[in-house]
Amino acid sequence: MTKARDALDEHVDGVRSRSEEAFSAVYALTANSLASYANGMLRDRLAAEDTVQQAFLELARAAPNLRGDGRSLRAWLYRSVRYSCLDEIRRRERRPEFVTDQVPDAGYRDEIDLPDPALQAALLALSERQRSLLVLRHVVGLSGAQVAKAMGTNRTAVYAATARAERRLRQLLEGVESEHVATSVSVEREVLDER
Amino acid sequence: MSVDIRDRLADLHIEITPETATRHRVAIEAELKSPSPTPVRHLGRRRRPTLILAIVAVVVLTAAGALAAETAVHGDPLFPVKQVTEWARTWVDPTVPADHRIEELESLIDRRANQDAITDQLRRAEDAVADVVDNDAVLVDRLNRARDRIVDVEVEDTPVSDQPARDDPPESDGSDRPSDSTLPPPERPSEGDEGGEDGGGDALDEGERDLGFPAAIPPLCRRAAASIEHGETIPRWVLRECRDYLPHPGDGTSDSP
Repeated sequence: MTKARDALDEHVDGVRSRSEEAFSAVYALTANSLASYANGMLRDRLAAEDTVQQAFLELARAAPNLRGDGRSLRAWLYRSVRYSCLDEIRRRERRPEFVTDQVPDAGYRDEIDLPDPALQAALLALSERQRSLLVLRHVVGLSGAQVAKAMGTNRTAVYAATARAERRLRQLLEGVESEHVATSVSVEREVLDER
Repeated sequence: MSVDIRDRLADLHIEITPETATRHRVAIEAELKSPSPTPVRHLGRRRRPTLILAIVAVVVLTAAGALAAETAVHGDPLFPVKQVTEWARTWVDPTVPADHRIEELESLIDRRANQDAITDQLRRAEDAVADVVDNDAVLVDRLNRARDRIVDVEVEDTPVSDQPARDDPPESDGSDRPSDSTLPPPERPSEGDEGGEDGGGDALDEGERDLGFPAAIPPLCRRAAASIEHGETIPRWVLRECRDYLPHPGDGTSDSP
């Protein structure tokens, strides 16, 4: 049985020799997916983009020692982003967000506006591993084997853990949405009462 | 519902803006142009098992070295290791050095080590016991028992053929120890004490005369006498053990047994 070819296979040698063209091609093929993964992990688009840049800078430094094929290169990049996200999460836990009364400018608000806030809130309530699995599988769209390689586990474990994570996310989402509905109804009642 | 979640998750996919992508590419190209790649964090992560193995190996080797050094005696290659662990343990139990010195002394006695080495070790043990603040009775007792064993071993180890008759001139043992000729021979017991019914000891032949009387001077006492001649101090227990062979201080004569 032969392995299916990865789109990165043909760029691995170029990456190993630190070719700018190879890096550019790999960036074009992976940057958006890596950013989506980081965004799903951090719920912060700017930080997500920074982790992507950080991953490619680290790849540029580690390229001569890179081993394996395109799959290995892809897994390397996802692992790099994952470690950066974990560092960022730990950093945030150590140093909570600075609270200010100042309202950011409109441009900045547009930058950080996130789609489906209920889903993102539920995602953040999952463990880091469950969040990683769901984002890699359903946001980035990696196969079970690719997720397994990026997470350093096997495919069976990925499928089982993903199913558990989906169940948990569904429960959390129902809780978040019912809370959201209850809040909306109470606000509407208050408005009607005032009238 | 499951499909709904997956669709909603798929909507979280984002795309990097062209401006950001350009910024990233510039940074990456700059990094690629730098001449020598510096070690990165990922390599450190990959080497972590090696680092852990190295730490475990160091800990195991140190523990093994400390364990092996437990039985080391003065002069062994591992003795400095023992001294280090001993220094650390002294903080918990101040009697450890004295305990170790006595153990080493016992070990040397068991091995039938060189008498000089045993004597030196005995002095170290005495010093260590003296350093214990409360002068631990158990340690003192162990030290006294070790002294007794030294004397026993000396007597056991002295070959009968090497024991010179009292009337014979003492022989050199071939070492560079001081000659035994400096030691006055113990006086014979008086004939009356011998109970010579037949007119005295003259009636006995040489072999019979030696029976019931110390025929040889133990090597320990020979060395003690030499030490006294050289003006060196000797332990009190040696004086006690050799009181029959050593001159009294002051009159230069030896005691009769």
